[in-house]
Amino acid sequence: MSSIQSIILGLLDTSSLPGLFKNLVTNMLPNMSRIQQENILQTLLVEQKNAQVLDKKKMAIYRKYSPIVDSVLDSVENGKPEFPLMGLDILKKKTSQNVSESSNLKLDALKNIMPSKKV
Amino acid sequence: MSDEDKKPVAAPETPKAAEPVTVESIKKSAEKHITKLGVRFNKAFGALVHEKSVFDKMAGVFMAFAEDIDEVSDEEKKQKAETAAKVGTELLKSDTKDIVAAAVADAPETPDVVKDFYTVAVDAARTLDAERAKDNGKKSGETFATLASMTDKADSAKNDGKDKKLETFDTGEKRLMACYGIRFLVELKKKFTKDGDFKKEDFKKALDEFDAATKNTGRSFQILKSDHFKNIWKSGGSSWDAFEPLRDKLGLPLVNPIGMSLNSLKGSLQKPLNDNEAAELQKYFVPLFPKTSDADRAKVVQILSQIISSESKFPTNEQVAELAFHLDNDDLLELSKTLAG
Repeated sequence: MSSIQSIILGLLDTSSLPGLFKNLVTNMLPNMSRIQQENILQTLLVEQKNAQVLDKKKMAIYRKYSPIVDSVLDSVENGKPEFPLMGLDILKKKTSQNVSESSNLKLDALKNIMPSKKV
Repeated sequence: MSDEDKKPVAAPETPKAAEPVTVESIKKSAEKHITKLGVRFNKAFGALVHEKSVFDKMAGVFMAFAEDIDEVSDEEKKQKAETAAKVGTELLKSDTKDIVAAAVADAPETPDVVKDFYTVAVDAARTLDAERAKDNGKKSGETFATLASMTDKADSAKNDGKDKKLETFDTGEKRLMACYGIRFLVELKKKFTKDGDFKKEDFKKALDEFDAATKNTGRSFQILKSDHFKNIWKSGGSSWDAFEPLRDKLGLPLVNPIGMSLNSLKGSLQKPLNDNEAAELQKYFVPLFPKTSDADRAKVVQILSQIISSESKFPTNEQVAELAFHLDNDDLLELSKTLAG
């Protein structure tokens, strides 16, 4: 087995590919052309890299919201439920996003009903 | 020596070697953290039931959290689909016989009839993949990849809903399944057609042999009748939307006469249509099967009514052979193309 084949088999294990594809790649690898193998290897390496990026994003989301939830739970335990100040930024951003989306919708609706000006 | 000194001393514990950090371990850790955070959100909501203003603010935060998670999930799905399409493209560069050989590599005693059916299945997938890449804005390999991922969903061992949510068929997948099923039928029919003469009995016999050879293997058509399959079909995307192209072809004004005729004739199709009823109703199906003769169309409508009114709502091999016999190939191809979008 070549080194490229063994790397592919290793990456296949953790890949999100459908089971049928994993099975086919495993069994067809020895008879595939070099180019096919290289393309599959590149695809799986990119997948792995992207997966790591996405997992970092998930952890960033966790770190963003976890302190807010913990703070609320602590305040409940202390007998005085309170919404933490750090959560207000998130709410402000959400509200301004909603306002902006709503304004854009109203603007689009206005454009549709106004007669087009001829120059 | 005191009693303390006489007690045997436990050997010091060997520190556990740290788990190697792999892509899989990072992924699992990230997912575990997000799941735990979801649980803590739930706990907070439960505790804030009587604190409306704090509850409302937490709800706003939760919605922002859910949107952030959705964005990452959507990106994940997109990347998963792209990876599968690219690998699908590479697999389709190989000959069908190599793909089939690889598919049955773990079962060397696979009968020829099964290999023949798999050959047709791969060729149909290859053709459909190329057509949809050319005519329907899909990427090369995408159709093949979607079909492959649907086999995972249909596998109750892989998709048991225990570790993660049960995966169901979305609207697009339902439509693709019907599209591919018809194309497969057309290709299979060709194998049993000689000099323009379709050998219906040989076709039916092959279906029976395939069923017998694949019974209990998880690679059988019988999967389509399983409770698991029915569940993921029913709980999935809208079937009404999935078959919208067919309704459009029938013409919306015609759908009501069909429904009214069925109701007036039978009342929700509890019994199959008889010859006269089928002959009467077939004219509404001309838009779907324009090249099929009136007599054949009546037969098709009658067989469809038999299937719908049966307990299993699933065609027998004889019914499949009859449908293949009576339906014009051009009509079948056109139907498949209608559903390919």
